[in-house]
Amino acid sequence: MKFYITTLLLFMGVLAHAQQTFPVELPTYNVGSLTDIIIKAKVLSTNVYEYTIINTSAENSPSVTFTLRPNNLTDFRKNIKAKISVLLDNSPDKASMLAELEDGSSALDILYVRFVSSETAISSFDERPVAGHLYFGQSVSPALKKDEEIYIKRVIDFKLDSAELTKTAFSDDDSIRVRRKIEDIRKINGVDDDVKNSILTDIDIQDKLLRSFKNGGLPNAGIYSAFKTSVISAERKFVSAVTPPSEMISLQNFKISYDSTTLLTYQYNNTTYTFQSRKQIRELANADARKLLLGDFDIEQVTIEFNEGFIENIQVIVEQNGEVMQFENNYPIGFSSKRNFKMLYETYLFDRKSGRELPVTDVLVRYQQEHEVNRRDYSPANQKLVYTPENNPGKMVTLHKDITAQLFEVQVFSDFVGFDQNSPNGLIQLEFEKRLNIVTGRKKFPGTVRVSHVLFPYVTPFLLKSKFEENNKYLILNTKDQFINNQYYPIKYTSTLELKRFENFSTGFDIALYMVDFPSSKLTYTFFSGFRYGRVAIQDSIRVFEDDEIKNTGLVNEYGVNTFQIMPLKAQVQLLIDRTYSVNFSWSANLYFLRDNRFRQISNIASFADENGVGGDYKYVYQKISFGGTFKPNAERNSKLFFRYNYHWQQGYWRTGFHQAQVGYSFYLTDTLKK
Amino acid sequence: MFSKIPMTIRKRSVNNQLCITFFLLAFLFCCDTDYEDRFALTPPDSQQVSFIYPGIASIKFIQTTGTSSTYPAKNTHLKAVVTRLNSSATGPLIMSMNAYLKTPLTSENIGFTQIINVTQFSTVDTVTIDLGSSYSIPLKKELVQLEIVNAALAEDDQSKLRGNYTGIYTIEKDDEVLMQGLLSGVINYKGETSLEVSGVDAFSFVKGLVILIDDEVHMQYAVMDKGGAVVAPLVGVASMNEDVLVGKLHLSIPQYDSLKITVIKN
Repeated sequence: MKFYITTLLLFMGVLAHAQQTFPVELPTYNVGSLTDIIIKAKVLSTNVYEYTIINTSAENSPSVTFTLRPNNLTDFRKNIKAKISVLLDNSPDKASMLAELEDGSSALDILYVRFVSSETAISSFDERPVAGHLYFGQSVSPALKKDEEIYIKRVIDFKLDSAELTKTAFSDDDSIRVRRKIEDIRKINGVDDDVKNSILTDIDIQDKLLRSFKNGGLPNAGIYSAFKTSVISAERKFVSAVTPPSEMISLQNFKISYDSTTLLTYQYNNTTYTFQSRKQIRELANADARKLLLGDFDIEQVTIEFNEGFIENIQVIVEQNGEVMQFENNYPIGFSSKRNFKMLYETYLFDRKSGRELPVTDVLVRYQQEHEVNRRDYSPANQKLVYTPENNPGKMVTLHKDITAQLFEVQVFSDFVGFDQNSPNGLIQLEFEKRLNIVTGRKKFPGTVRVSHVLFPYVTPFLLKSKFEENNKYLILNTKDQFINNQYYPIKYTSTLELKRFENFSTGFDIALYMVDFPSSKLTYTFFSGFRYGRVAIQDSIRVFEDDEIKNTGLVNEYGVNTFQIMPLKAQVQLLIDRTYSVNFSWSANLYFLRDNRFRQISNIASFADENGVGGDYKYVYQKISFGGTFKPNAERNSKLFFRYNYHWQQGYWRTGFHQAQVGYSFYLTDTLKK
Repeated sequence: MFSKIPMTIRKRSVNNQLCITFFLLAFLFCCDTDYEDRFALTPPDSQQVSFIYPGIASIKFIQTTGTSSTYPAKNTHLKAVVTRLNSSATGPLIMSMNAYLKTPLTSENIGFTQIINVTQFSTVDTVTIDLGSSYSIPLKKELVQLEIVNAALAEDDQSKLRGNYTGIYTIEKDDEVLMQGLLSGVINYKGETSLEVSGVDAFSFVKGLVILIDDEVHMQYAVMDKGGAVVAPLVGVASMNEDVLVGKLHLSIPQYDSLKITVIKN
């Protein structure tokens, strides 16, 4: 019976897995200007079309149907004309009507394109719920390198200071500011000592002037003019003398001054801005300097790999006058929750060659997620998105969720060890599991470039059913004969590992506590905790004490017991070689409790059975190591073959243990999403 | 736009909440687990055998043994709880107890013999007597024989011949001694006698009533086999002289004609 249930389950899984969406009815069109003749199309399969031409003007609306396999324009033209000709057999205007569809006319071509484009739209988008709309930027200005940034800051600060010094009302701080500037100039690298000294001379003049004001003199027009000249002179010398760290366009274009009042004026490219704070000017000037230094790069192409709520990889190709830069992410970027979208503003892409940075929000300007009832995950389906401005003039791409929801990952596997009839591992085992993402935002590991880490990334609830076959279904209890007050009082017992080995049902969840990802070495370290409840079928032979001896009645008592397991820690390392292969290794410590008082759980059967009867101090604890590999025959699908080797052993009894060597197939049970 | 100053993000303590939830769940699931097996099952109780003698006393034997992988257990402990049922009985209560390994209850199968002497009835109603730890025999009522030798009653209310006796017997036919052997047993406070005869095939016990009338000991006995069936009646008169009981009884078995007993009160 169970065999049939299993088969049915598998069959349902495969059915759901290979979901059929054809045939698709397409919209109906008129044939060119022949308003009486309409044509319907139905997509039977990929590139297989069934067309129906109907003459609505004739009595009973006669129609002709034909199928194109494969669908192509030449056959379309030929067939349409032939069939229309048949339909119009009795029509007096037949000749003139057919003339409409002669080779020179584009009416049939347009019709063909309409049908084909409709199909593309239907099969690729319309059936799938919208996840959101992703808006792209047009051009970007990559960030400056560190030394460039320092240079710009110096220049702007110098100009700001100079501008402030030319204020008519000198404050007490000015003198200090002049002194500070002198110190700054001394520190500047790449400036000739002569130039430095010349600038310092100018500044000394300014300083003297300042002092004279402070000593009671009032600034008159002459003094003020001298002061201003000196400032401008120093500025020019400085700007022209300092060699920028990269190709530099003159920064003379930046004009910063004080107007007659307290407002700072910033002028760039014939545009004037006024601000009250230095900070605002500094930011604006910084941005302008970038444009000046590097100019705007046009976004040529953006390729994004969405995978399980993450932008696993993003590649941005930008171009300016033939110079191409390629920006990429260092670690996966969460793209699932509102918090993730906020975090995008802190995320940068990097050009491998120049090391320049680019805020990801310069490329992905905005993501407008689509809200649905109970939708908490706004990520699009796993897909590779290629964006180019030519193909997307609106600079927007609508992203969709998958048409199917992956309900569970089903793993059907068999145990090599189970082939041996005496082994209880079970020939066929079935496991349902679902990975639910919790925290999708990843952070850069401090002190590294590409290493990312995250707390509580996901939780995996699962359900395991094994032992469908009848062999060795029951765990037979061991009995230790014992007398208390000269009455037979046997101890029924079994070991923790035996209970684990004979478990026929298990459910619970594993929660990933912490994950560190090393993309460069393709290694992921994850730490888990978990718990599970299990069920074990027990067979207990009934013994009696008669005539001063123990007799086996030949009767058995069969029942099931519950077990409870806590996994305080599991450490796993996974090596993802590519989309096709991955291997992993894990170790875990487990606490296993029997929730039944009909028999005892002990560490090791042999040591409990002997005279001393050692139950074991750590009878609840066992350890497990697991080594596994997966192989995806088709990288585009989620089904995969896997191999797993598990070894369990009892804490304190290193020589005990049992192993499982499993090979299986895993796929997703899917369901169509409600639109 | 180009600033590297991160946007201010309100830090939601998602991780903390998850952490708390997880550990709370873990605690709830684990709080009742203990590192000790708490088998609330009661192990088998001690073995008890009770005898009640109305108007005299009730006696309960309690045997406890430790956990053992063998049967019978080697380490046992036996005690007797004696309660008087007659408040005026203050004298010593003396009992003779025989515990047998199996039936028939003959000396071949005896496990141990114990004389229990209770002298405290003048002050208390119940006395617990520790009978020691040396008996590895499972206590069962059908394998315990208890005789009250002295019922703590007035001297006139009890048989004067009561006591434990051992001695010899002689079986004769036509005044010719055919066999001799050992004889032992009890005459209880009522004069009921049970003496086991060893070495005879035809019978195993001499049982009956002995009555003392004017220094003459009248015996109304029968010989019985191991199962307690009467083989033949015994009739005769005996004499008691300084704890020595001597009697010659007529035995109605074809091959024998008399049984002569000489037993001494211990």
